Amino acid sequence: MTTSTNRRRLSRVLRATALGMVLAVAAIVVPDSAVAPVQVTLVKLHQGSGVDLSPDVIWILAVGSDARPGEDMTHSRGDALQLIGMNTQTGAATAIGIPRDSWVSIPGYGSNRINASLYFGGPELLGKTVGNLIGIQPDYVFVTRFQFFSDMVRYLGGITVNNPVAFSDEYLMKDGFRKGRIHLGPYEALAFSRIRHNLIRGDFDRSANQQRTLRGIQANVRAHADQPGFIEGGVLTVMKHMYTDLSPAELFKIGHAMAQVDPSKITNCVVQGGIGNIGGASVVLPYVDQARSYGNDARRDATIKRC
Amino acid sequence: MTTASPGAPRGVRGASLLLTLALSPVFAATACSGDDGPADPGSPATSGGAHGVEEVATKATIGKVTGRLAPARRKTLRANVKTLVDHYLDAAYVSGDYPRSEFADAFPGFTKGAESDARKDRSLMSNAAIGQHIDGVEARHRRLRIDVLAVRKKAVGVTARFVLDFDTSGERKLSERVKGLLYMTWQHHGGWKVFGYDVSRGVRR
Repeated sequence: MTTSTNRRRLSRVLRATALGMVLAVAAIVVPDSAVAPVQVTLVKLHQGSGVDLSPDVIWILAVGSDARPGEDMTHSRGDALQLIGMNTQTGAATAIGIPRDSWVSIPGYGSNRINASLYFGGPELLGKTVGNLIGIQPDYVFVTRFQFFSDMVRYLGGITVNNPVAFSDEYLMKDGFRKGRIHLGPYEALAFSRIRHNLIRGDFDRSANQQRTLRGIQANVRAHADQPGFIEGGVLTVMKHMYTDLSPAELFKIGHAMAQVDPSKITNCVVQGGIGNIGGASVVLPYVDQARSYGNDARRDATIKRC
Repeated sequence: MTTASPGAPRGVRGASLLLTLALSPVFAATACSGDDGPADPGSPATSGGAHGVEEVATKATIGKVTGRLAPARRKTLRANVKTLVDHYLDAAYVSGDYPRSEFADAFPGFTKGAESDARKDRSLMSNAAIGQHIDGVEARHRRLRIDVLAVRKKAVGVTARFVLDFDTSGERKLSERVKGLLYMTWQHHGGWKVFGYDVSRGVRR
C-alpha cells in the first residue's frame, strides 16, 4: 500500500467515536405492519444481495475506550482493539484482536503500549499504529465508550454468545458467566468483554471474548435488518452519540454492509505474544510475524484461513 | 471459527431469512408511520406488456421515516424514487422487445459497483435467463414502499421495498414475483442511486 493511499485512507478515518464494529448499527425495532397485497406461494426462490462499497473489502478498527464520563474519548486509552474486515462481495468478515498491552512502536512517540496511541494522537494515530502492526491500514476507526456500548446492547434486547469456559470477576461480575450459549444483557455484555483477571490467558482470552461479543451483536443486527427503519434508526442513533466526518449516507452504506455479513463466513484470531516487563510494567510482546501473517491472509478477502 | 459452505452463492443469506422473505409480505397495506396520505396514482409503467393489455402502474407509498421530512419533500422523494424503481423494473423485466437477449441497460440508476453486482446476479435481477424464450411480459402488480433516513430535514438514504408480479408468454409461460429491497443514497451529481440490493424471485401461484 502506498503512502498516498495510506494518506487517502487515513483522511477517511473517523475523527472520533462511536460504536465498536457492528455496533455502528444500533437497533431500533419497529413493528412490522406488513400485509400481503396478493396471496402467493413462492415455490422456487432465488435470492441475491450486494452492497457497493469501495473498496470491496473495507477495514474498520473498533475501539472500546476506557474513558470515564467527562473524559475525551478520542484521547483516552483503548481498552478493546479489534481490526475488522468486511468483504462486501462475499459477505465474509474477519476480526483480528490485538491485546491492549501490546508493546509496539508508535509513530512519533517511540515505543509504548499500543492503546496509548489513542491518548497520544487520537483515532488517526491509533489506526496507523494498529495498521503498522497488522499490515493493513483501516479505512475507518470507530471509538465507543462503556456507557454507549451498554446502551446499544440494550437497544438490541441483549445478545447471545457462545462462552467456551466459565469465569467470573470479583468486581465486575461476581456471579460470573457459565459455560455454553448464554444471553447477555447490557451490563453483562460489557463485563463479558472487559474481564481478564480470571481468564487463563488473560488479555488474549479477553480479546477472544470481545470477538464473541461482536459476533453476537452482528447476529442480532442481521436478524433485525429487514425491519423497516432498523438501519435508518441505527444511523441516527450513531450520529447522536458520535462526532464523525462521515456523511449519514456513508454510515447508511456501512450499516447495510454490516447487515449483509454472513455469520458462516466470519473468522477471527487474536494476535498472540509473550509476556514481558518493561519499566516495571507487565506488557505483551506481540508476535509481529504472526500479526503480519493474519493481515496478509485477510487483506484481499477478509478471511483468515487459520489462526 | 466456521467456514462457508462450498459453493454458496455470493451474498446469499441464510435459510431462515430466505424463508422469512418467502413467507412474509413486504408491504403494509395500511397506513404507516410517516405516510403522507394517498399514494400517487403513479405514472403508467412503460410496460412492454404486449397484447394491448392495460398497463399496471406502480403504487408507491412512503413508509417509515426516520428523522424529520416535510410533507412536500416526502412527495418529491416518492416521485423521484418511484421513477428510479420504475425505470429499473421496466428495463430489467417488463419492457423491451421480447424475445430479447440484450440486457446491458437493465440497471439504470445503479452505482457502478451495484451494477457490476447485479450483472453477476442477472438471472435474478433481470429477465436475462428467460429473455430469449418468451415473446412478451405483462406486469400484474407493482408496489413500492419507501423507508427513509432523513437528516437535517433532508432525505439522505432510502430503502425501497418493491414487489413486481408479471406473467410471460411464449415458449416459457411463467407467473413470477420479484420482490426485495433496493438501497439508495443521494448523490450530489447524480440524484438517487442504488448502491445495494437484497432481492428474491420465485414462481407465483
